[in-house]
Amino acid sequence: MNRRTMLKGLGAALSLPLLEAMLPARWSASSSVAHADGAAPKRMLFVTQPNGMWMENFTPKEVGALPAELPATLKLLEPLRAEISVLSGLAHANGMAKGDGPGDHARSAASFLTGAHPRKTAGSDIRLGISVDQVAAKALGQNSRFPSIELGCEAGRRAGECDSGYSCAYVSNVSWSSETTPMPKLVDPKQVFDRLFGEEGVDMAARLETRKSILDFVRDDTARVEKQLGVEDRRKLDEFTNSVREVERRIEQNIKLAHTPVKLPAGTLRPTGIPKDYAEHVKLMYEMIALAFQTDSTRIGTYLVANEGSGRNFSFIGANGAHHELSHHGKSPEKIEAIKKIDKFYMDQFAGFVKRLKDTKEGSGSLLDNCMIVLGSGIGDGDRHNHNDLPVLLAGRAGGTITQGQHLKFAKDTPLCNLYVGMLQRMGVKSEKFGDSTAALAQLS
Amino acid sequence: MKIGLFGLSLLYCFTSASTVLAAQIAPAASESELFDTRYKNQIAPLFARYCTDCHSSAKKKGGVRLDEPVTTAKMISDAEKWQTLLEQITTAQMPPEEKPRPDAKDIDAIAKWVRDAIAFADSKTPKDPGYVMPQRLNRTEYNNTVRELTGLDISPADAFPVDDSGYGFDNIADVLTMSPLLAESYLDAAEAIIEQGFNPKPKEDKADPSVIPARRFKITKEGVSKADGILTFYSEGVVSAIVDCVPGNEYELKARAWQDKAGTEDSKALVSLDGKEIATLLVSKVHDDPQTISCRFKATKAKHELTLAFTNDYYDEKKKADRNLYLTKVRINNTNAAAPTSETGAFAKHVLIATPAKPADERAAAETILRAFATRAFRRPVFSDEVTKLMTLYDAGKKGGTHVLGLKRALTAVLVSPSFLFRIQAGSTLAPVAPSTAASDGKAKSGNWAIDDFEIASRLSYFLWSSMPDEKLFKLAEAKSLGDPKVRAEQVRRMLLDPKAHELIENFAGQWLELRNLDELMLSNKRFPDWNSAMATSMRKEGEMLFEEIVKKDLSVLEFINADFLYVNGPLAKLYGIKDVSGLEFKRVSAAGTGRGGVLTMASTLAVTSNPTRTSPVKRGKWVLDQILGLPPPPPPPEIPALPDKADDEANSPLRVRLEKHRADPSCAACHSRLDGYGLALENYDAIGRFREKDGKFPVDAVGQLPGEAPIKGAAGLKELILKHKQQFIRSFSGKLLTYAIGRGLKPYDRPTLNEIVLTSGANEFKFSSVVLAIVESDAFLKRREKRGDEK
Repeated sequence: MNRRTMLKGLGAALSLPLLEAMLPARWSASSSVAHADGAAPKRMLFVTQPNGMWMENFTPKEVGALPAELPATLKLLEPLRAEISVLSGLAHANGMAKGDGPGDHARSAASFLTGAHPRKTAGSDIRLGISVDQVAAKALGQNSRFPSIELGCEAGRRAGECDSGYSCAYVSNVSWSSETTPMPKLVDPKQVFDRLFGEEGVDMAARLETRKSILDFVRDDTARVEKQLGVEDRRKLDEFTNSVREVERRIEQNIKLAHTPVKLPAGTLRPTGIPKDYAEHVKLMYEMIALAFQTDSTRIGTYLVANEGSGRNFSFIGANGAHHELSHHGKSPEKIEAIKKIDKFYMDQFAGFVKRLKDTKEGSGSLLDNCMIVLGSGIGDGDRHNHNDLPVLLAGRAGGTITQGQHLKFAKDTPLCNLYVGMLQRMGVKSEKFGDSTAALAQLS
Repeated sequence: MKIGLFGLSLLYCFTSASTVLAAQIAPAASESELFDTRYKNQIAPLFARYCTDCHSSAKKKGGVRLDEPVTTAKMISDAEKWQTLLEQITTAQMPPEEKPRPDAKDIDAIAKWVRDAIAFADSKTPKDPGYVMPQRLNRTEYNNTVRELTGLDISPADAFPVDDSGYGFDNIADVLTMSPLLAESYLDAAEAIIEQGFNPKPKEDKADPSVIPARRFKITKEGVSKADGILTFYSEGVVSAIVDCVPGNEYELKARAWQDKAGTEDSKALVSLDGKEIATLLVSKVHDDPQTISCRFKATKAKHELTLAFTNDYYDEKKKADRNLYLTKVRINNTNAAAPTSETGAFAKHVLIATPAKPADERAAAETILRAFATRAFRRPVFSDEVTKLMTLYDAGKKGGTHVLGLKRALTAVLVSPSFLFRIQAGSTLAPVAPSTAASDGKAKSGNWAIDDFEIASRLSYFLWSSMPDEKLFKLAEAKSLGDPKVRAEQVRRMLLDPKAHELIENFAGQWLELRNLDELMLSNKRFPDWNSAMATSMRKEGEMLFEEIVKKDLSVLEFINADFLYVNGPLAKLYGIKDVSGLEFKRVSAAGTGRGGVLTMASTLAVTSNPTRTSPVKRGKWVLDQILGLPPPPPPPEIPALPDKADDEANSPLRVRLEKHRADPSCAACHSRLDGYGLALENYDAIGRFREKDGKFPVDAVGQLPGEAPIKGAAGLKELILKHKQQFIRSFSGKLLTYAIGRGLKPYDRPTLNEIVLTSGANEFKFSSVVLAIVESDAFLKRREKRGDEK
């Protein structure tokens, strides 16, 4: 699958000048703002899948080098097996109930990137923890136009409860910029594209100065209102102030980088909206991430493919029933078959994405070589709701600091956060500890 | 999960049920009568007979003892625990099945005493209004507010990230979080809105500035759709729109029109102005060759209500020929002058209220505009230093630019200000005291306080309209009249009858009855060929119309359970087996003999609680407990075998039997006896709500059995049972409406508030407006607490 097929059927072509190189301008040889040591920047992406997986079809039987024939779910990754590793035995202790009763779906999505235990509440005083991507974004965000991007395919439930007394905030967000602030995701590829690369025919640069003066006013005004509020009310407005500051920072960054406009690869098409076909939707969001990384618009991303507990109907691939209900298979062979199909469906899209990054040249290697991509779920078996032995797949070499092509098996209940610490360190973030980590995962390199 | 004090492990199922919603109302009783006479003589002996085997100083099972005297002080401190006891005893969870149980008379006596005692304790406790943090406008509220504020017909929030929901609603302050992405969206939207006001982007139907787009019409009688910008009259529907006119000028109304031919007549479009007919226009052309229809009228006011109706619908059953009328590009042109009727006109009227005659007047005009705009946008009087700052922005924008550039910049800033984006309840501290003091020693209030008039206006308007206060409410707030309960009552009645109250139906009912989920519901088409998106729309509409009638006619909220009428259109009538209704238009019909009436037997409810291929008595039971009785059951533990829904299983044993197998496991039975009990009573309705006598080849046995209660015979029996527990339903409904009204989840301290709502609305036959009024008059609505403080 090449990029053109991925973008097929997206509608109107974007009129962009043909470029000689597909390299991001900022640090390509011809660019005046070359990266300090000339090396390409590292990128980090977390793909979260709901409802666990059928582990037999995910985990290779043998530990060590990945065999030529991978488990059924990973079939399409076989040609790419030198680029990926399967990590088994990792766990999120904070996904477990810990006396909070049911709600494993909410806890799994909440803990997946935070390693934290969500406060059980249907709304009042939501509390979790900062997520790994946001730790990186805070440390490194100033290096790119966007500190991070948050994507998904499902907006949110329209009515009713989310999971067993947990607020929907825990179910539809995996990225948290603080313990109280989820980072909402975009689900429309057109919006993602417009945000990253500017709306058609709008001169963003010209607006920046005006925007700055407006935000100055807003900050002043917020401070003025806050003065008259109690501590708790003020906290809510602080959330706002922080967000405004972040927007300001981005504007400044944009002004600074204004002389090196983003150059999109030739032939890039502007998405026209959410594709009707779900596979196309999933793929197109992956493509947006690829474009964002390729153009160095951001180096950090999260992709919550579908909200936790997603009840999506997969009858279009012959899996009849809703994903969540099927995941409670009760060992029914039919339901397990359906779950296998769904797992494979998602993994096939992921394989296409990995290939896309692999096929994109960067420096002397590929874009993939400079990425670290985690794909996984905060639940192991959807029927058991276990939060250990999670399905975790790692792709990309992080600039040659990761040895790929292996099946690594870790001691039972090794915190998944150990992997995150290892990744943060490879990104260049000084981090000794994250969530419930005990050490940095050593066996990666 | 919280383990209720009175709960035993087998019965863990209901201990998590919302204790807030379960107390019952009773008239006040005296202290000595309650605790000396009645408790000692009547209640204590019953406890001794049925309870103290396990719940005494010796055993103290579940940490509960019932062998002690009760005092006022104890009652006050333990009211929550007594609440749990009340629930457990009245729902037959205690004493456990294997123990001797009191008879109905004794249960009633205990329940009555506990209710009286709780009410007494509550009357001795100061009411706690609770804490609501600054509430960010959600997407619906943002869109409505911006439209009202600017007069522009836009929906910028559709592009915002989706708001998360909590407690079943998407307007919960705590869950409406902020993020850089959202802040950026606000900035984008603000710029786009102001730009649109000054330079409307030509969209297809805006090419002609006098065009009234289809979506601006309100459907006042069903039978017409506004899809794709075309008014499609599929039956005798009526639409109307308010049009801006210059009094005294003559206007020409024009529209593109065509029809579907049927019968001998051509389609007739009736045009009226403020209810007075001005012309009947014949439409003879068809889709491929449309015509322009026109008529003239003279404006006498600045605003007229223009009404369009299709008056001669026709359907030829034999030939299947349906006469329909189509109108698009409806427009009015001022024949006297080029008066502005366009978006720019609306924006000018709403926002650009001052026009400088010469450059020297520009700054003063800008100040007038900004002061008025900020006042409305902030929904409170604006501080003079706020105006000063806005003027600084204006000056900066004007410098090297123009008056308009300056205005644009300052107006945009208003729409990104926290005072616009958040509803803040600061009490009078935010009211315009002398600016010097406000700016320097503005101090936050502490303790509990009453919110101010402007804040009341906002609470009312966002509750009932999901939008900002209108002029009337602003005026009342300015006059400080909203502190008067009589004025509030008047306003509530006015607001409920206003077309904008439809927002309450769409947003509250849409979430309470899960009507919003119908759009995404995926039922098996193979199994249910009648299921399609048009059917889903019809189902949603039925729910909305039932709700609307209860609101507009101010009926008892008990009608939600047993309305003796229903609204159906052709497809629904066919589904329900009701004769003599055809076409897409809805008709109000009697529920007698239909097996329908009320939300429990609406197709929408029956469908959203079903699996793709079959009914789910479990989901239906859960729905009844969650949405109707307010006693949510805990979710299933992991690793439970789900019911096989393989076709051959269905062929071999009825669902009821399969459910019974499931209940044979005692750990399942604790919850499922209850869930299944309610759900099985609805088994006469299939997954899309069709009545059935048989499920596959098996006859349906729609009898539900709750432990310790009489069998529930079918839907009628279920409705009867709920009406028997009507206080429970009213409490549950009021609790949900209160949650929606104040934007926070309910806490144990809201029990007295709910008690009062149930009591006062009960005195008014539970009329819809009386529930709303009781909510509006509650401390939870009119007051606030400084900080949270109630969290563990």
